[in-house]
Amino acid sequence: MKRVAIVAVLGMLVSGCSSLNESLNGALGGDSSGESADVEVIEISEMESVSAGSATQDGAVEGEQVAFENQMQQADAPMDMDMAQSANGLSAPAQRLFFFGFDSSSITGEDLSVVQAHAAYLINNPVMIVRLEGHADERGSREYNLALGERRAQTMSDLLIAEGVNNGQIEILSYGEEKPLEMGHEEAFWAQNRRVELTYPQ
Amino acid sequence: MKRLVILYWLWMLGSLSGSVSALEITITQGNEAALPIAVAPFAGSGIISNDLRLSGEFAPLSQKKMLSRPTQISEVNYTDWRLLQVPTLLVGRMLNKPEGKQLEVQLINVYRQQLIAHYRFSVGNANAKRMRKVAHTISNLVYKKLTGADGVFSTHVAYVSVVNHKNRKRTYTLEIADFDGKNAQVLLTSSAPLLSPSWSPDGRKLAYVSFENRRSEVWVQEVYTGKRTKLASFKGKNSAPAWSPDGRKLALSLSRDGNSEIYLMDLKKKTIQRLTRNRGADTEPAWSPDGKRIAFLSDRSGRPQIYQVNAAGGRAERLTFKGRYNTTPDWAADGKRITFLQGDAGRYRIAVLDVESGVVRLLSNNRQDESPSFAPNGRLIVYATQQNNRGVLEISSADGGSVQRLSLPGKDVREPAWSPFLRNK
Repeated sequence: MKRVAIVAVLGMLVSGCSSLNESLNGALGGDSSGESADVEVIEISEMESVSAGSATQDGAVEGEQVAFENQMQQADAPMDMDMAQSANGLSAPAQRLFFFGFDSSSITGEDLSVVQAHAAYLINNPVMIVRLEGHADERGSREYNLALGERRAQTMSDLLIAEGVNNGQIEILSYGEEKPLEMGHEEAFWAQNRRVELTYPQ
Repeated sequence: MKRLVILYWLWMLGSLSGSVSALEITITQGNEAALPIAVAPFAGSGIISNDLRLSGEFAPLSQKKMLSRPTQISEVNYTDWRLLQVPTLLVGRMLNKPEGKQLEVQLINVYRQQLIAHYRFSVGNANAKRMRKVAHTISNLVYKKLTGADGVFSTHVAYVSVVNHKNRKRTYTLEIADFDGKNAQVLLTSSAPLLSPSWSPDGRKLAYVSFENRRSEVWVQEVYTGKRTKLASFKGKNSAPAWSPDGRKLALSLSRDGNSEIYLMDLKKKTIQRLTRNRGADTEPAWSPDGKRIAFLSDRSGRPQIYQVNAAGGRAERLTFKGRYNTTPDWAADGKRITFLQGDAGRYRIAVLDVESGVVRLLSNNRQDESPSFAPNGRLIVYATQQNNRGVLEISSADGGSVQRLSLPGKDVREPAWSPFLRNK
């Protein structure tokens, strides 16, 4: 009976970003002012690992590792900021997290102008790819939440395209309710989980 | 792979067949109305007793309350059982035969003082796994004898179990267990989310959604070999697999053409056919047992509601009208009822829709239920709920009479899917 092989964890230091103790929102929001020189972010990159087993008549499990995917996971830290800035001197807005109302996919108010600023950045940097990752809170159907997360990402994509961003620069995906930022079971937490995370993966 | 050899003799004593049907057992709602039965102590009796209790239709007597502990009909003191108002008694004993151990059980009508049925099983070395399997088989025989319906005691439940680690990482496992939550076996371990397991109609494969490639893809895995293949990895979202009753097609929700729509994949030809076309999100397809219709979720009206569409295509017909949130349909084996998730005033509960009349009955009484799945006999529904911030599974009778929690100690579980009836593998 083999055991699961799990996840290579690479530790890597990135200076001048934000504190580990900061809220995830802040970290993802990409406060890159670098004002606190004594903090550093450890970026953890991981590979997703999968191992399959089979049921047996007597209940034993025979495991076999059948797939080992080699894709880097987006870390919580705003690694991409430096890259984004270095692209051509024009920086992308720091805000990378956008929150939504219950069962809603509309982007409103200040968020709208931030998305427009991201659009301007993308138009000025046509080689940059932006990834829009939609999420939902934990209530209700997981499958419907997957569709809701996708719709939120799609709404943001539509906005970017309307501003003139090339379709090919945008990647959309949804994790539904599967990757909450906050683990609690009330509205204060749910509100943090209904979101789109905008990232510039490289 | 071992085969379980079950030998059993069913002695239908000629004069008894009349008395069996004369038992006139009426299955009514509610634990209060569950039929009293006593399972006297023998190897496996605890499992049988628990099976019958989980069915919601029987109220097994606690062994502590028993006044005597007979192991065969000749030892039964009927007065003891009449005093306890137990109309039906199951006794059993292990026999050491030259050809190996045999478990003999006898089902007895207390008031008529008559044998209803008599079974004998070869149990090999009578290890725990074997005894568990034999016990579930006995439960099925007893249940069939007393209710006329097929028991689901040898079926399985697939589900996803999650372990939360520090630093926000998680381990997801796809598991199957006996219907009572025991004897869990891990089919897949992943660091990325898994969801929506769906059984093939022969019970030999599971389709499910995996995020192992950092996006939702549909995979199929053989339960007894572990062999797995990626089935749907189109651009966009690949999710909500549902096997057709004939095993030839998989219904899916894909967003390859823009937003979530229902598609059918021909599993042999690997071709896909689009079934829905509208601006709302369409997902969670569920086949009617005759394979002719597909119920699904759509928010084309602005809110998530359940619709049905002919599996050959055509106009969708809306099935749910009450409530602002109706999702996750699953059809009963009789084709007349659909269980689903209803959200109302911040509570998410399991409901059953009578398709023809449109009447909806709420089953569960929690705040955060999800993912209902019918047992293959249509009499029980398993679903996920929360207890102390942990996912647990509950089984409810389909008429709402009884609700029982499955024992999966220490696990955080979700996404239950009840298997079809499983033939000997």
